[in-house]
Parts: sequence; structure tokens; C-alpha cells
Amino acid sequence: MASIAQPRIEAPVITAPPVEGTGLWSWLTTIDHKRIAKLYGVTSFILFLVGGLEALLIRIQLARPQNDVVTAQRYNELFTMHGTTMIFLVLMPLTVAFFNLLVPLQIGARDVAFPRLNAFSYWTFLLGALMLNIPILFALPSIFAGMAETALLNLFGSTALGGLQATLDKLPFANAVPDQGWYGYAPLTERLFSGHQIDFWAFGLQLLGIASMVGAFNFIVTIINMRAPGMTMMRMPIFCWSTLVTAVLIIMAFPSITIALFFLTFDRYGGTHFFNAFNIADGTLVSSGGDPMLWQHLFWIFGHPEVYIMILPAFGIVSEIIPIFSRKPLFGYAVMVYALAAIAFLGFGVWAHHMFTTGLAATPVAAFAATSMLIAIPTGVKIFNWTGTMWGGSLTFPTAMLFAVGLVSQFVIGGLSGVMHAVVPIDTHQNDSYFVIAHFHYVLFGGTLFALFGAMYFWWPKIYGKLLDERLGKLHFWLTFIGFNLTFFPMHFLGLAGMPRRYHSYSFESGWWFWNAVETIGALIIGAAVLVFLLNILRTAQEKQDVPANPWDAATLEWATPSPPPVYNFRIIPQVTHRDQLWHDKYDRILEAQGRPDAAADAIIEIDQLPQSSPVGVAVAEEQAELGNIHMPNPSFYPLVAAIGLFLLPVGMVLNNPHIPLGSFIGLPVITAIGILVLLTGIFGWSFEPAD
Amino acid sequence: MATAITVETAHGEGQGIHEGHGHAGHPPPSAGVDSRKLLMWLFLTSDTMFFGTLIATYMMYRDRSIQLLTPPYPNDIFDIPYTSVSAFVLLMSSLTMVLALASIQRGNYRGLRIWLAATALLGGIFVGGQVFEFTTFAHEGLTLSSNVFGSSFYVLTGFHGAHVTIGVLWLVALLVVSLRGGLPKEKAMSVEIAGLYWHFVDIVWIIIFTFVYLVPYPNPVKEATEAAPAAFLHLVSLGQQMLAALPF
Repeated sequence: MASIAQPRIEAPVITAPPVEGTGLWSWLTTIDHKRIAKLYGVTSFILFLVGGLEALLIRIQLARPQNDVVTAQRYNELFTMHGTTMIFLVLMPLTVAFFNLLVPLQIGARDVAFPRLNAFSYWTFLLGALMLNIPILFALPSIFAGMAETALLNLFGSTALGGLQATLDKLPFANAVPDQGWYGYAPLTERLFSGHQIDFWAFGLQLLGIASMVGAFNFIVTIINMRAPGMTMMRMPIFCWSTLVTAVLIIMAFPSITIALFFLTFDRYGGTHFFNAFNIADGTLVSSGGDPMLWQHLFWIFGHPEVYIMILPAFGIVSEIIPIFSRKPLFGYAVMVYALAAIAFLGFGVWAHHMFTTGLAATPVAAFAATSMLIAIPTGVKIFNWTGTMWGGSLTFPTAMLFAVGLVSQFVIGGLSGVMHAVVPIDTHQNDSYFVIAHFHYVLFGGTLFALFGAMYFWWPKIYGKLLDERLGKLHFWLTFIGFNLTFFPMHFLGLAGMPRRYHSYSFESGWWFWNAVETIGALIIGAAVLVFLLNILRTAQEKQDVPANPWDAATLEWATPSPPPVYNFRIIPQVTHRDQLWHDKYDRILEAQGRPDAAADAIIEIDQLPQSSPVGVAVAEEQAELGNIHMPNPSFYPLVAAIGLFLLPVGMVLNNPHIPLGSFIGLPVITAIGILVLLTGIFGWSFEPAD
Repeated sequence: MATAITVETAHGEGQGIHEGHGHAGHPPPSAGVDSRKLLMWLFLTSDTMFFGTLIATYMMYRDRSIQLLTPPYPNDIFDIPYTSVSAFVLLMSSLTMVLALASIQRGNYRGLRIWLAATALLGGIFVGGQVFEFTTFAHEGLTLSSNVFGSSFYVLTGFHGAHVTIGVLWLVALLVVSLRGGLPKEKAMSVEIAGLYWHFVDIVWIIIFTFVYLVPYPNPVKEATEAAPAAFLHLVSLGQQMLAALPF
């Protein structure tokens, strides 16, 4: 493989080359971006299985009219946890896993700008995910016991399991599962209307917000400051651009929900009135002047950019995959970059389209409708550019490409139903109906998740040094594609027919039973597809493969490193001269050798050819490698310590509850105090620890 | 020619005050700005959004306690001359912060320590003044839960006060490190970054002081007779609906 990024010279013996450690301790203290990427990926994939299980339970409950597989309360809990999990614990961290894996490799760096901060992001994310999921993990046994009891009773008339569900319901936290929806509308979340399940949700989200923002700071600095020599902004791989734009969205959008959750915590613990218009004082209802609408505004000022936080990385992934399997450079690279930026910019000006039915005045409604329609333009530009990339290319369709093209087709459907929501009268009809569910699943599943599956097939050899099986992969794709459309396309019909969101059951007379049954079958097919993917992973893990550095003949710098890359990524930091550097190195020079006149300008060619042709080049490169003496920062456990400290602060507050035995004695005074101490220990140890 | 092959060591992490910059092996940042400084600018971008959200909320609820006739009212509570003095103290601390940075950049370590101590002291006086102000207001009947004015006022100014407190701790930490000889001229960036944070917190206070204290509030009695009935009746009808929906 011809490339300057990994010059074709035998590696000189460098003193104590950095090697990866093994064992649990090395994972707990790792600050290597590739290992953190694996941690993010594995964690969020496990959470994907949990969130998928919740989705299946929802679909089973809705499989037939008047079903009672789960109670209405459990149903509320399931859709709340399904939404929260899939958004904050699956789609976001899975994209972050790819940020971590790819950004340093694609810009030719050895790690991110702040490796320890990166580890801190991961641990905070993990503990935030734990915070959110503690209650549902205690509640799932009871749900399954209930299902088993009903099944046994119906099939055999047996009551062998009688009472098991009631026993399991007594587990701690089993009745404290967040049940207010992922949007957490006030005043449902206020003390007056809810128990301490809201605390798990609010504090969990707060921790996840910190993790996301810290990660976003890190990636922006990395992309701006750590690019290899010659890698100008407009030579960057488009995935790095999508990471940069997403990170900017994160640091601008998350403060809004952080403050909103901060207000909510004050409302619940400090007696403030931010979101409650009324209070009960001495048994009577008194006006307190707060406004539940404030929550909706703050939430959606965050919530709509959040949609783009989830979809823009997917656009970046697809923009990387489609050119490789079309054997053509990305069509309209610069316009793709501008479109990313335009989507992000407009994304801050559309939030009220989530609130068209709340009684806003006519002028804001008209303005937000206009901006919401406007955002379809840069999005459409991207669709056309992907099509333009494929146009006239020599197309091949391995699984990664199937998923990428799957995104293009399915996202168009989701995008079109999105533009429909910008039309206010139609939105008023569709609001809170299954049409909305269909829309955002086409965007987030048919969009983001398709791209993420494609990315897994595409970059699996770079992460693990093994190619996933293509036959199982294609089965996985087609099962996903069919199951997905069976599940979510009929929701358009149901929504237009008036089936509301978040309802636990429906009557036979409503006429909704047929499409609901179809949807449940579709959901089971998606479940089967996930099992095929798991099988593929397990089979690939057992195989012995010898994958070359660049199995797809791709163009970006990560493919210049061995598969998997060494801990330091690049022995010699590459010099970049072109956008698709590896294709330039491989193909353009052949053309130039055949007599293209503009060849002489590239100093890079001379350098690249030196190691082969002249012993001088080898000597110089070796000497510089020796002088450089690759030197990676040390592992550190302080990020983990700081994250645990941060985690203990809300643990104390959640436990500080009269329903929990001894809660008020050990909660706030003891556990939160320990948390502060641990956090300070982490920060000070971190500050005074030598970085390398 | 071959010299264009760039050999670089690991991009070292820019965290912590021990970190020197420009020593062998650290590549120049692509954008020419120190990574830690860039990190601080990005954090301040987020912080702008934090304060923006808080200030917007305050502006939304600014006159509501007056309209709803839920005392205490801002005009009865605020002591503008007192708060002006503490605002002046905080603004002067920006001057001493600049002098501290100028000192370390010239290698004047004695000056650095004096001005760091002065900045921390002025910040400490501001925080002390805020604690005293909060205590006084609480005695006059304004608490977190007395009305939406109390809620939004305490949370906004308290959030700012927490920022100043963290800044004071940071400055004291820098002072201790300097006294132990750990802050040579080459690490002026550590002081510069703390300075960025400090100036930002000062600038935010100018905005908060203007919108919370200086922009006049409507007269409670006169405005209430006009504005209160419609808003209040609307809320009361909403409340009756909610009460009917409650399970108890």
C-alpha cells in the first residue's frame, strides 16, 4: 500500500516502544483513545440491547387490542426508559465511540488533545448510565415474572409462579422507574406529581450532560489543534467535520438542559417555583407564579439541536463510506461541509416546532415554521450530493455500503415527514400521534442507527483487525431493513388514523389492531436481526484473520495504520497534501508518471519515493524516528476517581429520601460528603500528576 | 526534500499546572493557539450559554411577582449603592488580574504573588458581600420559595457567586504553587487561562448587575391594579382545573 502516512521502511528499533497493557487495571486507567472508543462502543451496545428489550416489551403490549402484558404504569416506565436509553445511552455514545476511534487517526494524531479528560468523559458517561438504569434493572425481573405468570395461567391454568411478581415488586427501586417520558415535561416532574424516580432521571441526565460537554470540548480542541502538518481544515475527512460541528452543537445546546435540570432540582429540593404554577401550602393551593412552559422552551432549545447531535455524525459516516464503494471522491466536499454548518446553525432556531400546539402566538409559530422548512434545504443538499457521489461510480455493495445507502433512502422518508411537521395545520393534527413516532424512528433508526451499523462493518477491521462476515452481514441488513419498515411505516397510517402516542392500550373498535399486529411482527424481525449481528460478532471473534492495513482501499489516514493500529497510531506523523491522501498517493502518481504535466509541484512525491530509491531517505527517516522517540502519556486512574466523586454527589441526594430506610442519615450528609472529598482528591491528584 | 517528513512525539496532555509548553517534542498547535487556552475559550462558550439561560429565565420572571402581588418586591429588597460597591470591587479585581499576568510574563515573581493575592482578596470580598446580601434579604423575607423573583434571583446570582468562589480557590492554588516555586515564567499560560476565566466572570457580573439591579422595576401598587386581574384570573382558572384533576 503506497502511502506517505506509513513510509515503506522497516521500523528502526526505537527505545521502549509503548505497548498496550492488559488486564482490568489497564482498562480502568487507560487514556488511549482507541481503548476508550472500545469502552464506549461495548457499553452503549449493551445498553442498546436493554433499550431494544424495552421496545420489544412495548410492541408486545400493543400487539393486540386491550392487551395487559404490562400494566399502564410499567408501560409508562418502558417508553420513558426506551426513549432516554436510545437517545442518551445508545445513539450519542455510539457516535462518540467513533469520534474517539477515528478523529485522531483521521487527522494524523497520536491521541486526542486531553487524553485524561477523555477517560473522564467515559467514566462519567458510564456512571450516569448506571444512575439512569438502576431502577429499571430492578423492575425488569418483576415485569418478566408477571409475563411468565400470565403465560402459565393462560396455557396450563397453573399458578406455580403465583406471587412471584408481587415479591419482585418489593425489590428496592423497583417502583422508582422514571415514568414521565424522555422529555420530562413539567409539572409532571414536580414534587407534587411525582416520586423520587425523577431524581434518578434528572441526576443521570446531568451526569451524561457533563460527559458529553467535556468530550465535545476535547474533540474541538483536538480537531482544531492536532491536525497533521498539511492537513488544512478543507482537507480534513468529512467525518472529522461532522464531529467538529456536532461538538459545537453539544457545547452550545447542553447548557440549556443542564440549567433546566438545575431548576428542576431546585424546585424539588429547594422550594423554588421555576416550573410549578401552583403549590400546596398548608393544604391549600396557592399561586406561585412559575411557568411549566419554561421547561418546554429550555428542553427543546436543547432538544432540537440534540436531534442534529445524533444525525450529523451519521451523515459524516455515510459521507465516508459511500465514496469508497463508489470508487469516486465525495461529490461536492465543500458544499457538504457548508451544509453541515448550515444545519447546525439553523438547528438552534427551530425548537418551537415541538410546541406548535401549546398556544404560542401566531408570529412565533409562523417564524418557527419557516425556519423548520428552511432546514430541509441543506439536508436535501446532502442527499443530492450522496446521490451525485454514487452517480457514474463503479458501485459495490458490501454490508457497510448497504447500510449507508439504507440511510440515504430511509432518511429521505423521515426527512419528508419532518417537513410535514413544519406545516402548522398538519402538525396540529399529527401532534402526539403515531405519525410522530414514525417520523423520528425513520430519522433516528433509519438514519443514525443504519449509519452506525454501517460504520461497524466498515471500521471493524480497523478496531479489531478482523472483517465481519459478509453473508451474515447481508442477512443482518435485509432483516433490519424489512423489520424496520414493517415496524415503523404502518405507524404513519395509525397516526393519521388518530392513534395517540404513549397510550397503554387501544380498543378493538378503533380499527388499529391490524397495523399494530404487523408492527409487532416487524419489531420481532428487528430483534432477530440484532441476534444475527451478535452471532456475526461472536463468529468473527473466534476466527483467525490477517487483515491488511487498508482492506477497502479507502482514502483517509486511518487506513494507513496497521489493523489494529499500534498504541501510538503513527510511527511517523504523516504529511498531508491532498484531501483523499491515500488515493492520491496510490492513483494520482500513476497518472502523473504517465505524463501529466502538473506533477512536479508535489514535494511529497519526492519524499515518498525516497525511502525506496535512496538510502539517504531511509537514514533521515530513521534518524528522525529515533530523535522523536515516540512517547505516550502515562495511564492515570484520577479520571476514574473524579468521575466516581461526581457520581456520589447525586447518589447521596437520591438516597436522601424518607422512603429509603436510613436514607436521610447516610444520603446527603455522608455519601455526598464522601463524593465531594473523592472529587477533590481526583481533581488535585490529576492536576499535580505528571502527564507524560 | 526529506526534511519535510515530520517526526513528532506524543501530543502531550495540556492539563495541570506542572505542564510546560514549547519543550522538545510538543508539536506546535495547528491553529497557533495553546490547546489549554482553546479549551478554556470553549468552556467559556458553554458558560455563556449557562448564564444566558439563567438570565433569560430571570428576565421572564422579572416582573411576575409584582403582577401577581406576591411580595417581597425587588424595589423593597435591593440596596443598589451597597451592591454597586461590591460590583466595583469585582471589576477592580480584573485590573489586578491583568497586573498579575503582566508580572509573570516579565518574570517578576514577587509582583505575581502580590497581584494574585490581591485578586483573590477582592474576589473574596465580593463573595463575602454576596453572603451578607443574601442573609439580609432572607431576613427581609425574600427566600428561594417566597416567590418567582426570589427563586430566579437567588439561583442566578448564586450561580455567579459559585463561579467567583471557584475562581478564588483557583487563584489561591496558583499562589500556593508560585510560593513553592512551581510557577516559572514559562508557565505564564497557567495564569493567563485563570485570567480568562476571571475576566469572563467579571463581565457576566456587569450584565447581571445591569439587568437584575439597575433596570427599573414597575411600581407594585400602580401596575398591579392594571396587570394583575387578567393574569391572575387566568392562573386561578388553570389552578381550579388542575385541582379537579388531582387524585386527592
